[in-house]
Amino acid sequence: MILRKICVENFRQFKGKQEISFDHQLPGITIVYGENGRGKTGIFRALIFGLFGEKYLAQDGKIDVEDNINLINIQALEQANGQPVIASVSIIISNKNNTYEITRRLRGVKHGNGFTEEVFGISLTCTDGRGNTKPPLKDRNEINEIIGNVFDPKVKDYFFFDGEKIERLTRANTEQKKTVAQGIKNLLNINALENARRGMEILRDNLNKQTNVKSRGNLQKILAAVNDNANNIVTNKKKYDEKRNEYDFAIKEKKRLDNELEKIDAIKSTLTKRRELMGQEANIVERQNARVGLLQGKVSEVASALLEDAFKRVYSSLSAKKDAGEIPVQSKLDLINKILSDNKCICGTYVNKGSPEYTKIMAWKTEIKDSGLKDEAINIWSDLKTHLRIIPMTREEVARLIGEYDKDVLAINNIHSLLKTISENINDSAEEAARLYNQSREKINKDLGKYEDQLNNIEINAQQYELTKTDLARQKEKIIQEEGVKDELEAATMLATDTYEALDAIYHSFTDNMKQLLGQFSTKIMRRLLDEEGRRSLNRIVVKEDYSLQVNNLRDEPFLANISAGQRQIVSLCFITALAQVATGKDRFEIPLFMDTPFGRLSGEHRQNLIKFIPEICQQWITMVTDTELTEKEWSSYQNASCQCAFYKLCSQKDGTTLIRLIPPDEVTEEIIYKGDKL
Amino acid sequence: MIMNSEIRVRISKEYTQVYDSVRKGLNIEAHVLFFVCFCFAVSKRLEPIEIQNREDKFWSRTIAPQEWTAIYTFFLDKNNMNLKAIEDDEVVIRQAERYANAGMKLFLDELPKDFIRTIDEKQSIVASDKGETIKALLFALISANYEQENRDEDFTS
Repeated sequence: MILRKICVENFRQFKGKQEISFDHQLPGITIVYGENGRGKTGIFRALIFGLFGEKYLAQDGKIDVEDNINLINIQALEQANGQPVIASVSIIISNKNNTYEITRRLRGVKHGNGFTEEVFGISLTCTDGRGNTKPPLKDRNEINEIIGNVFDPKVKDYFFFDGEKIERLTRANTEQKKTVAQGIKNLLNINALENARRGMEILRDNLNKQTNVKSRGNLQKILAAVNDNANNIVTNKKKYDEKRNEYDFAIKEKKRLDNELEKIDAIKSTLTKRRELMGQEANIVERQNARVGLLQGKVSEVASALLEDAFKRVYSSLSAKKDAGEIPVQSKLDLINKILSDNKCICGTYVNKGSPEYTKIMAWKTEIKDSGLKDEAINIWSDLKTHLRIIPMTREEVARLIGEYDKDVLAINNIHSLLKTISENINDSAEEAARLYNQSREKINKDLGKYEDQLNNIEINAQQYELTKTDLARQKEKIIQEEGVKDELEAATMLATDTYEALDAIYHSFTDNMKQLLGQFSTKIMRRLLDEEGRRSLNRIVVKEDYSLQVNNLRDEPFLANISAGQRQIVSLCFITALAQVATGKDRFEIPLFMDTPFGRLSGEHRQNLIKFIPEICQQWITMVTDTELTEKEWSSYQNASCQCAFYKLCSQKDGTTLIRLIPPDEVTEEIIYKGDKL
Repeated sequence: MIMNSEIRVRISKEYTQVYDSVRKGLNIEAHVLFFVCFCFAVSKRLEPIEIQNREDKFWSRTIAPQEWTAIYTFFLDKNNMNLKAIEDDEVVIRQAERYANAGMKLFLDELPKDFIRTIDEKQSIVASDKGETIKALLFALISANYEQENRDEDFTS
């Protein structure tokens, strides 16, 4: 898909009709420049509204769907004096040989102190490669289906996103795992496989039930156990889905309450403090989880320290043997073999077959072979040497980790106590509404903690049921073989089971391969984007079994908790671009990449690496930047990016609206970078 | 002595839930807990205990090389450096099973009671706070190490 043009009329900050054309040579970069509040996100919103009819962006985390967001330009509504105002967004895209123009219209009116607006029209015209234009379509469902075939709305968040906010992908919580898992499923379009697997599972269970009725003895017992376990899996899955819904609802409700609380001026500073503390807590908890992982990895090493005395004794005994030349023997064997193959000793004596020298050498070889175990002894000696060196280091490291763990437990307790005080203060607030909202919020917060635990337990049970399933399947097969049950029903059940297992194996092997592939692609991209310091400390990105992202250091240990916000943004960008590359199967994908504030948290070298890299992987890059994201360095990198670059400026007007202006590239330095100061 | 990967390592059925709860709650694999129990038994100079009611718990291929080295070293030390004692991995594992069986009881005694749950006379590990449970496990090992050092010092003095 190629994005050709966005036309807006009375939409967000843009009064009257205005447009941005992306119709320059491909690959190309379009930079939309504007200071805060000028409408960069408005352009982003126009794209999402125009293509998919959605009012909200994925980044609108804090805005609840019930909280209305106005899309129609407020100044136009004010000036209309109570008369209706029409706003519209038209998007022109082309795909294969067809060009589509989709237009969505809104109608709004001012009343009293507020505004009302509604979507009232949609049309789509399609022009084929020979220039024939079909009559415009007006049916919403039909239009959405056509646009959905050109660009699947489920994957839009992976091509159109806010550069700063995608950093959330590196947060190891339930929401993040869901986002990554959903992204993989959507982009790789594996729903059909999942449905086939589920269908076969139902068929197998039904056949199993029928077989159970006809079977006797041990087979019946095992089939009953298989059925029980299958029921447990289904019940567990239901429990998970129900709990997941409760969890999602609670998250949404908490956001709504936060939003309501933020409207109450009297407690704004308290809320800011609370948000900061919660952010700190999340960071510490993440660091703690990484530390617990490290401690868990040390259990075996700490246990082996209990054998230190035996290690010392055996090491010194083996060292003595080694010094006395009893081990190693491999070098002796190597020498003997060389003498035998050369038929000549190192002293120059010929060792011909049948000669006394030959007989002596062969006897020596047999003697050494008999004591062959000593070869392995040298391995033990060498391992012990390492162990004895590592044991004191392990003790120190474990003591340090436990010290840091305890310190962070204290820090979390302090944060909890501060949060409690804040909550009590809000409850004591003169504002009755604040008190009530906060009480509900506190209850939801407690519920969320409970839901997280319950979801974890359900996941653990699911793993256990899967293990039991494998074990029972093995037992069942054994009994069936023993009892020789081969009737038609059993054969059908076995076929259904085998098919299900094959589909299940394909599904898991496919998703596992994808996770591995995504990890490899992300890592490759990360090495391109990181600055030298980052490359020195970070080794690779791993998409873990549970779909959470991890970054390993050079010792291949989990390191995510220790990286900066900018590095997190880089890691998330790497993952998201790797997803796009893997999904499209091409080195350069043909879907536009639309990034709002791409450089917010990135330092100079990271920015330059990104500007150089993105045009290599996508044919259209549309980037919305603010003044701090466009200095002389970035502009110079854009110009060196070996593709055509168009530049639009969002200019503030006296009436508070925004005018979109195309700036010729040779005027950018003077007008944008130096803002006319050079003159 | 080749770190044979095809041996089924056995535990007492009595401790199945301990192994399962440690794997589920703490993400610690069976071979690690087995090795911890083995080390406990060795450090406290416990007599190995025959397993009465056996259950195949894991494959020897999961045992880490450094754990194999430690097990070989113990039996080498115990048998006056006679390499024949560690020649057959199956024999080594069967002996280690008996030590681990003896060490498990001690391991459960060493852990604070808050971390142990008993249902129908079967014990399991409570891991509602994973960090605290792992810390308690490491403390149990570190104290055993400390006691061992002091005991050895007393003995030598």
